[in-house]
Amino acid sequence: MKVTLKKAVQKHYTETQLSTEKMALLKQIQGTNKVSTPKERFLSPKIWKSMVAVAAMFILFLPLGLGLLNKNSIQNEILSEVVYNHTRDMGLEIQTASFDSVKKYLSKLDFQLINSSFLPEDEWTVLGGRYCSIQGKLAALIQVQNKESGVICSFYQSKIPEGFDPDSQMVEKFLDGVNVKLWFEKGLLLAIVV
Amino acid sequence: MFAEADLSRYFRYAVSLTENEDDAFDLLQQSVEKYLRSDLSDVKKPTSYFYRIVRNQFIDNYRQKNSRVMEEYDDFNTVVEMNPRTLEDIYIDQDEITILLEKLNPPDRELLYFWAVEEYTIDEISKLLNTPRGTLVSRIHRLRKKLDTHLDQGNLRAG
Repeated sequence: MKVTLKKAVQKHYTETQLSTEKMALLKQIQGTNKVSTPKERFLSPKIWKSMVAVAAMFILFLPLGLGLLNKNSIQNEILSEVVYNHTRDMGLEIQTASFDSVKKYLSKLDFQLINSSFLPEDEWTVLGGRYCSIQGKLAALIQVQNKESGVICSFYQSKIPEGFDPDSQMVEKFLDGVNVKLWFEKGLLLAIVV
Repeated sequence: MFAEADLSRYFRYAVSLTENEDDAFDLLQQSVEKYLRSDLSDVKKPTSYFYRIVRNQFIDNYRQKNSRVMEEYDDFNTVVEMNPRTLEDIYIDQDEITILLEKLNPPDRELLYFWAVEEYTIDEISKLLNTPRGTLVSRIHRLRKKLDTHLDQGNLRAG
């Protein structure tokens, strides 16, 4: 049965939906500044009270290991996030072999990019950079290439997320077929995805 | 910042440009990040402003990959043909719309999106895209001819 072009186009696009996962990621990028819908605003006092009650129970009864679990949870979220960004291959905003040029371009970061001891200049070449987000905060993605192997990696730098107590140990995992390492250096959270 | 309904709306717009949901999400994510770090103090119409961010980001993304898209966008500022036939009297099978949209270029899909989904007038689209009204009229005329060609020849099934 034929319909007007207008109705057909309307139906085609209105049936297109963001998945729950992607919607959550976009909200996360927007951080705490998310606009609430009227329904959300109406419900928020109830939710708030419920959360206070649940939080009180957690404070009273949770084991001391909660801190460790929480840290692992944030850590896993960050690992998944940087791997996701890496596999999306969203392109560079600036292409340059100069780390200083990347620093200059990413001027809106609220931290200073650092030279990591893990990526010595005589072994790695900078290819460029772009803004990204980690845990809803503006972060830097620097694409680097290993001079010997030619392997191109995504190198991330971010402020350490709130509630994340860093330690000196490097974490390494394989997620979605890629290798990801996360560590802390000079007061920043760093990650590299190969 | 944007509520879920806004994000869904912008996602649909991104799909109209890319005609691919994964690319549309990447485009939307890039645009949200760009919006968040822009100076919003002088922005009076966030919706229009954000639409333009998505559009410009789309053009940037495809500038290197597909020069034809750019030519199609640049081509909009050419001859103005008046008295276009309307799009209102075109009829189509719903299951043919995806194939039809795939045959159109991004600027044509964008125009259809604003006309059909957002139900904007030519003047509203003109302001939103910062494109002269006459150019849009010309585009609608050419789009109508393209649609007639596809629909009259019945070649939507042929792929």
